[in-house]
Amino acid sequence: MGAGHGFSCDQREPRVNTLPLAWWQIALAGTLVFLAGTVSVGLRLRLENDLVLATVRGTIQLALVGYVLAWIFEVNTPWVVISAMAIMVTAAAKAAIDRPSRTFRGAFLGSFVTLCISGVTIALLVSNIVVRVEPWYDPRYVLPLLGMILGNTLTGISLCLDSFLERLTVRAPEVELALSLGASPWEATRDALADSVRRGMIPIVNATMVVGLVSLPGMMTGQILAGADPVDAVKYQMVVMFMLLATTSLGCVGIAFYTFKKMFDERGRLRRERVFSAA
Amino acid sequence: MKRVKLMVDQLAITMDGRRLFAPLTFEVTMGERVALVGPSGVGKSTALRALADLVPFEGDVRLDPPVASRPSFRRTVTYVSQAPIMWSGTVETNLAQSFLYTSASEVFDRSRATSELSALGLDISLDRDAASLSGGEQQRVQLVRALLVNPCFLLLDEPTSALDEVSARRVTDRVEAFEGGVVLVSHDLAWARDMASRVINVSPA
Repeated sequence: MGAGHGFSCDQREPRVNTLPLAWWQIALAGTLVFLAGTVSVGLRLRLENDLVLATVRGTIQLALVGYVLAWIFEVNTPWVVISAMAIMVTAAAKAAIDRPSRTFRGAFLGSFVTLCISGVTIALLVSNIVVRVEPWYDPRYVLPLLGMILGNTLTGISLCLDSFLERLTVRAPEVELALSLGASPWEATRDALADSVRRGMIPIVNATMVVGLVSLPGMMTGQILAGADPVDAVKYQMVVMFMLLATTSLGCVGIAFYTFKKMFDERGRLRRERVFSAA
Repeated sequence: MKRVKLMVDQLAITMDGRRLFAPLTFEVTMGERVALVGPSGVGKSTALRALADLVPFEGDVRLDPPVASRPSFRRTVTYVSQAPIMWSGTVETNLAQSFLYTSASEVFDRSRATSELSALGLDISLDRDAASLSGGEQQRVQLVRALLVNPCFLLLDEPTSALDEVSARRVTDRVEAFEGGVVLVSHDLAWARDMASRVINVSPA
């Protein structure tokens, strides 16, 4: 999709040629899921229903998103792109707070604001200052970049939030001990907050450590499969790598500070009753 | 030690929509030892935590003269929990940690720490891993930890619950020698009445 639609980015680089896939070829690849199903049945993992559901759901979601993206590229107006970004951030904010086993009132707002500040800002900065897309909202660049950012940042936010809420509940007596000996809320929770941010960043730091050695990142792989020059694909991947490190760290720090502010009252008391099970 | 008074006015606590005990009003002066007694589950320990401003409450708990900040308040009115809580690390780590929360003029004094531990019957190395101590030893270490910050008031929740008779006697002697005020909660009514200069009944709301 996209070729011949007259997007401005088409003037900046030639479209690469891909081997087009017919639906029967996709169906053929889909039979691989039977392999997973066979393993599940053989080992009595009871994952067959989940596998079928995940496969059907994933296929429908991808098909829909393909058509939606084609429509957004076709319309190509700032409001449509901004709306798509808002939907993506909302879904990511929800997913980020759904995964931890504990939550608190206002967690969604914190996740949403954090993703807006870290994700949307950096996606727009990178696409406009580093990649220099024209116009500034070019959906062919902005939306995939934002998607990658949100996917990684929400994982970081989830892990960070899960860890921090655990420290503020299960290990609340340690925090209250520090408070009772004269620590400020910040002094009493600084180590827990730092540990939680570190935990949230482990996946992206690990992925960055082995990038190119163990794994070829999805975007780079996609570009190479689509026929792009590997050196060009690597350049884009470097930008993405820097971007993901920055947004994940900002996202983790943002949600940790927001949670910290929410968990203490104006008298500096730890309000652990504000945390409840997410189930 | 400066002269301060702890003033409690109509202290009440509501948890899960339930009022825990009838409102409490009392004052504690330096050198005074006050025991909170009452039926199990009435909220004596929670009241003690409220005096340290660790849980939300209605009414007023203040110092006369007042202190500048909430951390200063909690350092002046120091709470010691029933279940020992140790940070990971050595005994010294646990005793010295609180000096990270105060001005540079107050520093951890190893010899005083050793002397306080010894007074409670703990002749242990400060380099020992705190997690390796028994419950009774940890209970005494946390009392020393509170004493080292030089509070004006100690809030003690069942301070002898994990101790044998000899160790409990040492704790009693040390608390009696404490110059500041003490508010304590104990399941041992006889001990509490013997220890306290005043007993306050905490009755259901």
